[in-house]
Amino acid sequence: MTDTDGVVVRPPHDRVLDERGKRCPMPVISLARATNVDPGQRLLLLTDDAAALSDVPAWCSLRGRVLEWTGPAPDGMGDAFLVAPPAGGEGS
Amino acid sequence: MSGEADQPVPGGPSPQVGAGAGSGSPNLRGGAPGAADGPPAGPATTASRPPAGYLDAASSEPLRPAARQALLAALDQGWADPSRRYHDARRASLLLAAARESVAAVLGARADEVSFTASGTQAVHLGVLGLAAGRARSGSRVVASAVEHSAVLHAGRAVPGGALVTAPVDPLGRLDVGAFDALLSEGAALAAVQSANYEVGTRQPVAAAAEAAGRHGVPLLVDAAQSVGHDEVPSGWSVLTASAHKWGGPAGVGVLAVRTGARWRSPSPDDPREGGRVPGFVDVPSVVAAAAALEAAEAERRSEMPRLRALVDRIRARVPELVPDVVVLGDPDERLPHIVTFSCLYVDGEALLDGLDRAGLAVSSGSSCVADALEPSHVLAAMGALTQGNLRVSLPSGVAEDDVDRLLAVLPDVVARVRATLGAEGL
Repeated sequence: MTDTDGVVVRPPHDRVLDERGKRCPMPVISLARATNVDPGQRLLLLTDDAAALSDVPAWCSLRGRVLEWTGPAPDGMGDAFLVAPPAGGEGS
Repeated sequence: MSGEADQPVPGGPSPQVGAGAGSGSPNLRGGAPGAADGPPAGPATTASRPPAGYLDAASSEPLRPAARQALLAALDQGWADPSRRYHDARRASLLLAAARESVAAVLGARADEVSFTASGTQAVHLGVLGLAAGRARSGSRVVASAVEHSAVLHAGRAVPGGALVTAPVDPLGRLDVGAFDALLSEGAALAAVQSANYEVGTRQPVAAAAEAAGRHGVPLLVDAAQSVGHDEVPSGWSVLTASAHKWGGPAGVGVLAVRTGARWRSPSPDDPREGGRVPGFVDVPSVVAAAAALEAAEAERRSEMPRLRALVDRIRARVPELVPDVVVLGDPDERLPHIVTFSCLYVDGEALLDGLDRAGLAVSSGSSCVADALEPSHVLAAMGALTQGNLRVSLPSGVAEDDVDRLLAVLPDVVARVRATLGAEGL
């Protein structure tokens, strides 16, 4: 998601989970914890763990969350995943 | 020379055998010597009985007793250079020829199409680079499934001036033949599709892939490393590769079969050995042992593989009932009989392997954070599968049912403990 100047636009979110420097499976565990605390939040997960590219989408489909957006982290260090509640409700 | 004391004892250990081998006289007919040869394993028998708890056959199948006996005999009988003209050379040559005939028959190949290499990886490298060299006028593009073994992918990237393009797979790990066909229509020097996946066991649609490759005039390399000795060997290939230690032969023997008429040219400096396909002195004793292992595997395949298939079915059914948040991967039906893979949410693969190792169970993992791997398996990633807490269980021939029961008994607690350590309970 970039604007016309190629600057990364941060997608709208309620909370950032900065899990950079932590390895599989910690980023997904952090995502699950935050979701447990407040299932209604839109979470922006930042991670540099290569496994997240497979495991965040897999976790979202297991837990009924919506992976709205994936792209580079706002500062370019690692990847970002915007995980949101399902459109119809808060999910599990 | 000082008389009888220096004469080798008839039937005793030959002088060049290293200390500590502890072997008696190698016996051509493979009868007597078994008991003194190794760890106490009961009476010598032709049936396999792998070490207790060993559930990693896809990495390497334990050496079959028939292969061990053949190896010991062939060390004495097949040591000479098979290309020479004297008695010992002719004997080595005959042993090598018989082994070649025997392996070729299993592969559905002619004996002169089969060469022995120093490993399965070398067979793949020579297969890929040789097809690329023979087809240099048709470009240097290599089309492969995204879930090929790294040996295939690395060889594809090593083609001089070449480009490797991969065709996607579905969530079960099966090649998308339509996408493969579309990539071939843009031209390719060669294509590569495995017989079945080494990590999740899914059989590939080799017949359909071969039909597509044939339509585009592109030769197909089939990496059959996990199928030979376990499953039907597919046809339709221009080059087929395999590896003896995957079927209970010794390490250090691979198979490169090149179909007569295939445009394959050796990528190595000239060497007449092995039909001009594989440089270097061939290891006749190990090749003889590999052939003996494959004969033994084929002889029991129709009875043993259905047994392993049923055990894998049990694992596939029971694991999700016993352990919460587990995803079983790969095709439940169109698969190799002996491999099953699953991933456990909120678990790291290394802790899982260590926990099972402490329980005496040997398995493997495609997760990252295991050994030196910083990235998860490209197979699991291509499938879009969960990669954390990944376990591959692969049953060796003759595996005790008790080992499978023990895995099912131990796994829930091992997973629960890892989750507790990571603070991931109840998520």
